[in-house]
Amino acid sequence: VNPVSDAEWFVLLIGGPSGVGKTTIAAQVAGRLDVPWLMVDDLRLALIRSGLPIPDNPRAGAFDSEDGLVAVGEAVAPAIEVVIENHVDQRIPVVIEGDGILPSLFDRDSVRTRAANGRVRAVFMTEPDPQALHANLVKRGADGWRDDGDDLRWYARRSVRYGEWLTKEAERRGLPTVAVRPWETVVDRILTASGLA
Amino acid sequence: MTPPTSPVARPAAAGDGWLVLLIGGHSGAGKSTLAAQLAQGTGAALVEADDVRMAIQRVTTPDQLPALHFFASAPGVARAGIWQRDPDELVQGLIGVAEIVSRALEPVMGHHVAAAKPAVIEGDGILPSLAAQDPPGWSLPTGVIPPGFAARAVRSVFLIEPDADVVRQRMGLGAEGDTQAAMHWRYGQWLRAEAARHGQPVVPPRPYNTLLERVLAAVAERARAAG
Repeated sequence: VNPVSDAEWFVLLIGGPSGVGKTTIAAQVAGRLDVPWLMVDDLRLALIRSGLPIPDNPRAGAFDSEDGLVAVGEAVAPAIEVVIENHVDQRIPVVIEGDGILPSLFDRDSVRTRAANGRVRAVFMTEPDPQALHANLVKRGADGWRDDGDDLRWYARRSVRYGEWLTKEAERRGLPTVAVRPWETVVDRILTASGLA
Repeated sequence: MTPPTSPVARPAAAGDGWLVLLIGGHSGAGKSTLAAQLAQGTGAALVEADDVRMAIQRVTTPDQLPALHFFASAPGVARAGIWQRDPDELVQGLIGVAEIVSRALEPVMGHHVAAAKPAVIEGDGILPSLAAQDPPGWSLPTGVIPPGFAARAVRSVFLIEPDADVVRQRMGLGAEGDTQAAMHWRYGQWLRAEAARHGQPVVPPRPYNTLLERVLAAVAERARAAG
């Protein structure tokens, strides 16, 4: 997937592990592109409420365990897929962010077809430093994780491992990865990496 | 991820303090354009209820959620004879879909309020009862939302066109389109009564060039009413 900078685009996916600041980044990127943005977490919550068997405690184990983060990503993949289809087909641009965005989305026929000519693009955020992730998680409260105790350190370490896995998955498919730091230039670097600068 | 287990500190400064802004109304009223303007103008996330509806439809079968699949026998395939059915039955079908969509949106609202991340949620699947609802439907632990906070953090507006001909012209469809436009208009009139019953504001979409300011005024009025 090699985005053509002057091609029309309709979906920009921003993936990466939790704690790297994807939500803040997505809002800023969407602001620069002057389009709306959407959180995969909202799709996940809506699906769980509708009775879908999605692991509801993905932080309980390893990221690649049976009920871990990868399993959640795979469970919400059809929902992300239908949103991608809708926005490409209706020609309504949108930025979508979430740790549930897996590079393997591009293995799906309907996504691969629609991604031709850069209409669907993706970047994956990376933060190789567990200390920096940990500090960020402490700062923002880590989605329900208490204080900065051992749980949170474990959560940060696992987030780093999940990020490493996502990076490998992305690189294998030729999808760009972008380091979250330096923070001041992250939006510009995302726009450049996705061919939207 | 799930919402925090500690109380919400302060609402983020989106507009005049809302964290969830629901834009309801019937199809063809101009909700999408308005919602995108509001979301982009404030930096809030935009949740289109249609995306949520289609996502749930994709991963469920008619056996699991018959009401959600009332209009389609397969993805993108209208149920045979659907547009020959009685108009009242069609409106009931839309209400059935909206009930499932609104239920799915409850934890989405809770997520944005508890995380203090503003969102505009838009769609004809938003029921006035959703806007009037208290946190119990939000799947949050007790005490996450302080008493009285929801009434201020959640606002709604329902766009409803009084003139059936205007809805028909805006939808611009063929022969079957007349049935669909009539259904959407009738659904709008049902929404109007529901909004009144739940004390939620209704705004007529026309004139379109003043819609944004009239909606912002209605939203601000709700804030004053909530105190």
